[in-house]
Amino acid sequence: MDQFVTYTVFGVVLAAIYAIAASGLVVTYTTSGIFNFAHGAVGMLGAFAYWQFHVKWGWPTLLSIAVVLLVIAPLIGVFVERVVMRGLQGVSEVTKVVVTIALLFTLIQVAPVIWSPKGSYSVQPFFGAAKIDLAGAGVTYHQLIVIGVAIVVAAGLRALLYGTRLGIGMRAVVDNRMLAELNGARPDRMSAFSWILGSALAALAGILIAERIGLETVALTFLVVNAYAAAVVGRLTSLTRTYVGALLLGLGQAYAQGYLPDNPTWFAERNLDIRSLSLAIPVIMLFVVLLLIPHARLRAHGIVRSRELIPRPTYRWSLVGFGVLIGVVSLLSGALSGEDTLIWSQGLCFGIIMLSLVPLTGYGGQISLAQMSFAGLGAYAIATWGGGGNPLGVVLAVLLAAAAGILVALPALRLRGIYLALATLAFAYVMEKVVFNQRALFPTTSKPVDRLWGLESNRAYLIFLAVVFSLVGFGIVWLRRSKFGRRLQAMKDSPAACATLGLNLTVTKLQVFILSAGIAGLGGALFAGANRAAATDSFSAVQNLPVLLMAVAGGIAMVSGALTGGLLLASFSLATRSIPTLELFGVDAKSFFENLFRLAPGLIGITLGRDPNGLVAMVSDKVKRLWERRLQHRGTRDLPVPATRWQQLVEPVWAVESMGVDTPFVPEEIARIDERLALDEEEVRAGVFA
Amino acid sequence: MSLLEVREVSVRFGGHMALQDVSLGVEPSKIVGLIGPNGAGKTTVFNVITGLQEPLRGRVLINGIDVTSFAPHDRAQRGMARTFQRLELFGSLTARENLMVAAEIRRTWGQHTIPAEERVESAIDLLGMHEFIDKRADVLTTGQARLVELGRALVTRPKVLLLDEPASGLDASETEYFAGILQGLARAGMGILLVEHDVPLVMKICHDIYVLDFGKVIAHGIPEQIQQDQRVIDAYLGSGSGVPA
Ligand SMILES: Nc1ncnc2c1ncn2[C@@H]1O[C@H](COP(=O)(O)OP(=O)(O)O)[C@@H](O)[C@H]1O
Ligand SMILES: [Mg+2]
Repeated sequence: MDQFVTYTVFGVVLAAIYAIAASGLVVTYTTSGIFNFAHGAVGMLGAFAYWQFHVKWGWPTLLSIAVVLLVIAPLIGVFVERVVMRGLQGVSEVTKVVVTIALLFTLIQVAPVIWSPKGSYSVQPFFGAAKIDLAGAGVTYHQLIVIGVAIVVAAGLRALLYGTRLGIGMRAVVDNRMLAELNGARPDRMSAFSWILGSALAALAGILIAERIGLETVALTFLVVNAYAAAVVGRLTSLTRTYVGALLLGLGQAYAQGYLPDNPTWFAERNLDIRSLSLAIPVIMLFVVLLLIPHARLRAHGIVRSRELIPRPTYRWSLVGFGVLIGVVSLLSGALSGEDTLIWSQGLCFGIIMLSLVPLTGYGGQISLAQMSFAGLGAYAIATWGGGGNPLGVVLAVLLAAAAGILVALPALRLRGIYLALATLAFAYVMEKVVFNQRALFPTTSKPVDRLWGLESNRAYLIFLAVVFSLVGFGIVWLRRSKFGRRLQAMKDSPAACATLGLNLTVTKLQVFILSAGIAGLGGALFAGANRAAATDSFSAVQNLPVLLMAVAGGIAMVSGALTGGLLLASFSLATRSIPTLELFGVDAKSFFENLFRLAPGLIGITLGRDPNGLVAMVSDKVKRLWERRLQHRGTRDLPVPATRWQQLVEPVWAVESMGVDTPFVPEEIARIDERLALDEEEVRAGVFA
Repeated sequence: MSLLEVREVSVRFGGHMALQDVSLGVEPSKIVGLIGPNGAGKTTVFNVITGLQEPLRGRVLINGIDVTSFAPHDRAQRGMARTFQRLELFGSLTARENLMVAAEIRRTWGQHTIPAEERVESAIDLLGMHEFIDKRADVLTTGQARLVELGRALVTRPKVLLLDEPASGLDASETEYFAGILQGLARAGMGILLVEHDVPLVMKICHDIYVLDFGKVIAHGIPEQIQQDQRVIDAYLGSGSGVPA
């Protein structure tokens, strides 16, 4: 009995922390339409800042917390809102996702610069180990405080959102911009406020949980993935449901830990461990909850004026490009050291994996955070069936991954935008925690791989990869120019129009998911070949974040973007490795440059709001402009519309641009807002995703 | 048998009844007007017909077949196409590609008689879109975009066509030309349901008119009847000219 109480208390405490973190996500999401993947990283920074004040500098607990919540977190919030989130108009859902992923990488890399990873950090629970007795079980003061804080936060948010004009305005923004246009007041304050509030809630959650899981950047950051599930129970808009979700999740995890039976012998004999399911409870819950979300209704939303271009390459120039690639790689490969050859090989494999995102995300607008899991299946296939360089291994890699693509796509077809991103991420976590860690599949965390056709020389393998990349890339160019490519783009621009023209969206999405997963599987198999090993941690869920990030940074709708993204991703490790030890002006320059390179992916990603077309487009645009100036070319370019114009052209999707709280609402307006808010959940959500 | 029939459809948004027991029908070769003040529920009727909005009650029949439970694409494949009031072109494609996509989609489920390119060319000719056909759709003027949307609907060769305020954004001569096209399409057998605020246009080309106000059909009849109807004059036409409120 007292054991049950202990688990229950433990579960409620977890739930309280999840709830606090998740409500922060909800607050920013509802007002800005941006799901903040960096939420956990903000919490992590908050926890470290608390350590700095309280442990390092010995400030009193309450003062330290107050400074973190009232100064540090708001500063982060304002920074994020001002620098990163503004300028995200007229960008696609994937760019919004990627910008916050980039922020996550930046923050994760900033922390070790301030708090050296060599140091040891820990914070004590409030009031140490002091506890009270509850039905025979000990409950610490810290646990009580956590539960109390969650209740206060709930009450406070409720009072804010329902009792103050600011809150009513924030809630109204959820609904729709038409309504928001009732008011001519300033929006920026509300947006900034929601980011401040969101950051403070993240930091609070970080501080409360730090004593339990320790001050470790990555663990703290990704803990918030658990909060995603709770937030999604609230459909990212309802705080009450978010709390219910958090409670289910916390208790579920606690009881699973306490009561899940030992692995049954039948499974154990087969090297399968079903207990690993308990590790995956939050993501399984996330996945299940996403599947319960009613079908996103198709809506007309007016012409999407996107700043994002989908170039239409010609066959001739593509062939020239691929020829150059193969030529350069062949020449270069002679000059590279063995290790560098390996890194460039990995880069090309990443490039192939990123090619899988071009039709799926670049053309079709479907966000996937599971491509590395498909790649992992490809790696598994080649390790298992590709012995002695048997091509069957590669064929099965493609087929196995494509089959998994169907598995993900079928339930995911009904989801759009951020929900699809989260569902695919949940799938990736399930693959990592439940599939890839089975000893029946991967007896150790790494499985030896024979290269295709026994291409033993690293140089030959690198050239081979360049050829494969070119072939797949050419296929994508062909696709872009085909009916199917056009159809994908049409689907991205307006699913509603496609459907009313008679297009079966389900079939179309399924096709592109299968194609994409297959390509990723191929990339994974070749990647494993490059390393001569299929290592499970290359294919963990988190690996999907840099892959999507760099694919978008290179240019998600371009073959050349995938190549650039892949090579960049691989080269970050190359660059960090090859910096000589040196001192400049008495400063350790090596670590400075190392930090810079670690920060690079994040920093590149953050700039995407400014120029969402990626690096390749940015560079080629510059080159083109120089060229045109040289030719004294004065023809008006039809497209793209100059970037400065977008501010005027793009209809603000989020009412934050047109709504604020400076002008008091008259009672009639409040009544209208409330009438709007009485809409059923689905309406509201559909509005949010329209 | 009607090409399109809407039977006692009601729609509710939260606490607000957007449509109440709306019934209407479209016959082959007929242009049917659906008019009413802003917010009356006209676009909602279109959304119910095309499957973008689930009704609370009521049924939709295409060619006598109850399609109320059908997905939007299934309904379209029965020979129905629409345009959107707020325009719903594929912004990142050119106008021509917009038409191509539609024609190609049509070929995934219809007979493959006329090649997609040919149908697209005839639509471009018919609507006189040569000038801007290779521009990206998101830079077109509203008038041009409306034509492209109409063209995109036409290349699917619909039996019944739903037009949501197609003439707004067109100037007088464009409107006249446009009216001629609609009449031509109707003569060729197409049934057209037209939502439009240009009352003279509606009175001129429609065979049959429904008037919607606060989600209810308040009048139904031939143009002459509608123009005399006191409730319609009060709710929509206003006392004098026949200009919308
Ligand atoms: N998705 C929706 N959610 C809530 N209310 C809606 C929605 N769509 C339309 N409405 C409301 O339903 C009513 C009818 O709208 P609509 O059909 O667009 O009118 P019309 O096309 O005649 O101008 C309006 O009051 C509008 O605000
Ligand atoms: Mg309308």
